[in-house]
Amino acid sequence: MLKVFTRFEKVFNKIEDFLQFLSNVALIFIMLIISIDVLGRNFFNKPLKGTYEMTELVAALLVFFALAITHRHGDHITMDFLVERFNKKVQHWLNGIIEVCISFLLIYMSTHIFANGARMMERNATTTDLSIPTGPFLYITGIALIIFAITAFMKAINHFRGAVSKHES
Amino acid sequence: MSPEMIGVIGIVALLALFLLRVPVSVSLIVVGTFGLAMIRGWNTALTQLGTTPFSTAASYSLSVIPLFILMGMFLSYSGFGHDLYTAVDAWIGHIKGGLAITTIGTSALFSAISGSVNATTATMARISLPEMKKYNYDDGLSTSCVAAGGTLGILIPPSVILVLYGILTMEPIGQLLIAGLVPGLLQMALFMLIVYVMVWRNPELAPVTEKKTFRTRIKSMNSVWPFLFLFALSIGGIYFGFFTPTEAGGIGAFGAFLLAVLTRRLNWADFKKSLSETTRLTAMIFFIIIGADIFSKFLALSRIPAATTNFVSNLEMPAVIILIAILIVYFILGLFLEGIAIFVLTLPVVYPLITDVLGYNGIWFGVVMIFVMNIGLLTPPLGLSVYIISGVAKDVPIQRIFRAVMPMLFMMIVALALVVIFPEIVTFLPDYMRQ
Repeated sequence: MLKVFTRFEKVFNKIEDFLQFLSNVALIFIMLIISIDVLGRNFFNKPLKGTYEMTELVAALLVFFALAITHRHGDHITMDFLVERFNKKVQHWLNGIIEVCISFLLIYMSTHIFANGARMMERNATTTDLSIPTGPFLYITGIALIIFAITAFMKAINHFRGAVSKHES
Repeated sequence: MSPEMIGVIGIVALLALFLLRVPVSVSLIVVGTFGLAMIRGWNTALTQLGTTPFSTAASYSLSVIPLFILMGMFLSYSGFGHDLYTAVDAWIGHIKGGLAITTIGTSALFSAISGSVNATTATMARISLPEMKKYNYDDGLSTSCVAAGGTLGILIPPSVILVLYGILTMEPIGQLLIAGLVPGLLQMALFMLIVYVMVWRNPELAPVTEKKTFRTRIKSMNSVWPFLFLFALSIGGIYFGFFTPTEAGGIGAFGAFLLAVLTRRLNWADFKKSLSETTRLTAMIFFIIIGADIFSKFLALSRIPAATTNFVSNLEMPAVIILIAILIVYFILGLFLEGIAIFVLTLPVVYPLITDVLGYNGIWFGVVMIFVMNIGLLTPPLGLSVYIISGVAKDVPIQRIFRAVMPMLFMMIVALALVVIFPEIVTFLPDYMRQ
């Protein structure tokens, strides 16, 4: 069982890393289109059409793709000074329970984002300048949140393993 | 149950979740959603949960955050911080407490580009502490200068925290960024002054170092121009209205990238690290903003902001007394809570109070809040900057650093008092921009 979990964790880490890569690409994309737009507008009198809306859509991808790996690295801000005073086992139990709650919240959130995406698709909602459909972006966001939820769930399992381990006190 | 009561329970629940180490962002989403459900029913709450995350993240004006962070990361990983230190040292290193004053000056310049307290503090600690140790500077003096210098990062533009304030309060981001400039320089001058006075009274704190030749000084400037150029381009562009803040961020990041690559200072591994750290920081900040959005909708519906505003406007007290009371509460919160958490927790209630009832300028208040938050960065038990420095200067006990920053804290309070008494220090540049 433990072997399966470890193998799954390894594969899943690769997925998180890939999402981080996509997020990085999104960041470069935003930097470049904004620069091209500014330079084009000021020097050639030719701004890049759709920069505003492309930046908006890609910024959302940047954020949601990076959420899971941010959680894996423990980069989401937390207040540690109280819980740090508890003994290690209690900390593991508490953190494990919190991670399970986080993953449920994220799954719940993603279902509502999917529903919102479906509404957008039904209405054929698109952006103004380039007519890019916005529905698929919501679906991608929902999927990224599910991956974030799995990251939280795996952290929970690791905390529970720490809580029952004999080496931790 | 009345909406106000639900609001109070929500705030208490939020604090409890913070203390249980639930991430700030998740706490805000949970309490905001439950609160909305209690007041307006589950339909409204779940609609918010389905729409707010994407609509908040897909924002043009918010994109300024990753772009400015990226600009700082590129410069930081390219080692420009070290060159900057050498250049400032060449010019002012030989005066009383010169290396300490250099550290503060370099922090100011470096933070102007990086916009982050943590990045500036960590970089400057690594660069300046060994240098000051070499010249037998007092440990307390050297570490306190790094701690104080780092806090300049969220005042001198571009400040990511001021952008966040602008997003939460709808104050214009460009003007907010510009507003931090003069108070940041004032704070820098006060830090330098206290170092000079301390070394003048006790020369053993900082032995004198040799004066550099004029040639060395001129040569050292070679590495400073990229900073000045990027600063002038991005912040000057915002000030004179050539760019929006987001465009300034894009051009700044691209400029930093070109500089780093053309001078062959950024290798592939550091390039990837710059991107990854930026996207992770952005994800963290944006997820908090998403939570803050849901939470502030709940708080508005709970009518707590309106009730507080009413209560305070019925108090027959001078505005300045109420302001001081609010700042004292912020100071206490700053001892225990992270700055961003304080922003999202309190701004929905305090901001309308400050601007509508007490009649203060919203941009000015943003800068005042940064001052109060900075004090929290140097005081126990949180004292984030001090912990970062103690991670680098492992041989200096943390209690010693906390004690050594006292004079700097005093100067921060002096600067805060000056800004409260003379609000023009903050408002005159943004006012010029408006004209």
